[in-house]
Amino acid sequence: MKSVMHLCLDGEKAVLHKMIGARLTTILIFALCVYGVMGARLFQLTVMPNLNEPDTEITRGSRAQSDALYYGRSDIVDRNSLLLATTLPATSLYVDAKLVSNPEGVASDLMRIFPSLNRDDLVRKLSSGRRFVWLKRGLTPAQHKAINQLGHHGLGFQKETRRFYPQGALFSHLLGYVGVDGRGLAGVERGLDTVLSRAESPMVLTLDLRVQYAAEKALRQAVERFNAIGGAALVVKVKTGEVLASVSYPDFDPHFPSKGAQKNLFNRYIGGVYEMGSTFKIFSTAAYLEQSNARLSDRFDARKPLKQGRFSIRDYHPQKRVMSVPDVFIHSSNIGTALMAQKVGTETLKTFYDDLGLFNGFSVDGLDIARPLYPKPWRDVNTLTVSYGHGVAVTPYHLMQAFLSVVGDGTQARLKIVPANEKGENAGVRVRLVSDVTNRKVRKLLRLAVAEGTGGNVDIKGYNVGGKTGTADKAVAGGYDREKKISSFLAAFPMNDPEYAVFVMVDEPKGRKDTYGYATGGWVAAPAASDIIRSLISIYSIPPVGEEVERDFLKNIMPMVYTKKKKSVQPASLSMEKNDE
Amino acid sequence: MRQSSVPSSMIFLCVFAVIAVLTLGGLLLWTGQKVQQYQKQTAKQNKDILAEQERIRILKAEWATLNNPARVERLMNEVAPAPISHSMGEESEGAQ
Repeated sequence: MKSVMHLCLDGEKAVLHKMIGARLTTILIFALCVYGVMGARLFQLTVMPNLNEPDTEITRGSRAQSDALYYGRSDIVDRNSLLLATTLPATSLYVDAKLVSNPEGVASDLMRIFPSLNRDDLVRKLSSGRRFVWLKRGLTPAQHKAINQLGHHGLGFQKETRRFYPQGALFSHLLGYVGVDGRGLAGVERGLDTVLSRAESPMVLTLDLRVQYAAEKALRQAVERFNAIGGAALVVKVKTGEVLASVSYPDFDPHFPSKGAQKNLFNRYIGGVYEMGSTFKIFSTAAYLEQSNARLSDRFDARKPLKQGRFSIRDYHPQKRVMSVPDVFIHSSNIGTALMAQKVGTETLKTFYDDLGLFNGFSVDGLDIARPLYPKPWRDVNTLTVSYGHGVAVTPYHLMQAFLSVVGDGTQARLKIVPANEKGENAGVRVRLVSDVTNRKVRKLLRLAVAEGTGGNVDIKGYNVGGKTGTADKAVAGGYDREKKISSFLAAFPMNDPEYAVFVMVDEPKGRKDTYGYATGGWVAAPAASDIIRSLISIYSIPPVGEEVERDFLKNIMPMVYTKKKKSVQPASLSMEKNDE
Repeated sequence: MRQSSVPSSMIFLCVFAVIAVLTLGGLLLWTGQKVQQYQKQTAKQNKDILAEQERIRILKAEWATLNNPARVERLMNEVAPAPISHSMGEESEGAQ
């Protein structure tokens, strides 16, 4: 700068001097402006209170890290967000055997903390010389502390996770369980494994803990009371197909699935196929009523067994008279139902059953439902026997789904255990299976069966409960075992506009003195179903539809019901013991 | 005489610029320190949050276990041993 000034001391150079001064000033001011901006920004970032953290990719990343504690598997909750399955941190104990100087002593100390371990095995592991051997997985905090207090060299802990089911065995069959590596091995844990291991938010199921408990309790009591080998119970919302309760008994501890008896792992409602007996009459009667010329008042001669080739179809408790459709239904006449099926014809009946899904395996939100068994080849006599539930073996899920299709709105129903909105699924157009007229008639028949027939043990005044009993001999190698029965009850209420459907099935019940030796659906399963319905009423505070609605509902159909000349109305409880198939 | 004729405004500006650079440098250093301090703090808080979340998880599981219907029913029967019965009890069936 100075040298420049020397050069232009005098004369006209003073002008140049001024110019240079002006330029320098300009540059300096410009630089100051830049520094000013930087300073202001620094001031803003550091000194000024900055409450709102800017929403940038970086800040979002750091927040997500702290929010979502990654446990590798999402929780499972019921429809009210009550916890059914969760993942908990667990500590596991391993040993670096190279560092253990006194295997015998360490083993003795460990045996005091884990009495269940095998001592020889432990000593072998401790003296193996390997750098990493698991000793015990899934320690409790108390055990963790106790081992730390031992202070042995070479013992180490590894943080792991463990699947925990707060409801214990209650949901064991539905939820299933996971293996040591955290992969689902059964039930929902297996069926929805990919979703569960990916999603961070809890998985919501349609089930209701309270209903599940009520159903389990009623089923367990029925199984124990009749000294049965097991059973299944389902509660479903008719309009949406949402499963509220799904119980198979006996159950198991999902934390230690292999500890109990192997047969306890068997899931009766999706894994077992059973000939359901008379509950199938709901479907064959619907098929008959779908015929264009069929009327409820049509007569069927049930005076003598129906002969078809070398087969002869009999009634369990023959009425020995000509019966109307309602009569056939409430007295559960095999002959009458077989005659209806004969009029429907093999092809139509088979197509109808197929549409109801009774011939195919299917999947309910990842749960695989077993394939049914049906006669192959199908002979004419099969049409007759299948009409009253002999010859086709299905799972309770099949039966329930078909039932919903018939008593719901007459369109094809789909059971679900994951709410539709969770999946973002489009409901779509549902296929119509039975007409509104048939649907209404079947609902009336079901109500009639409870009010006047075999399902009398289930009636709850004012709730318009309808249902059908079923009792079938179990199929064994080479025929049927008359001593081994499947007794069931399939119900819905209120029948004028069904909201809930209940199914109870008891496997091999034995007759009791106070049931006069009977172990039929009406005696075994109907009271349990009644208990479940009463629980539903109190859980959801369901108001009764009233006895007037009940009476009006059956007004048109009552004249078609046969009544004995002298006694006008048969008490339901008396007719039951005689008429259950 | 004229040699010292560098305008005083220029000197002022230069001095001001030097001060500004020093101040801003200091501020930057201070900011850097602060950032490190906050990062440490955040890391610690994140760790605490994780620990808390783990505890919440365990407590939730414990809460669910303690509230399982079978236990609640048992406790209720202990407190009020006259439950409201929904079942069609033994009496009604015995009467048949």
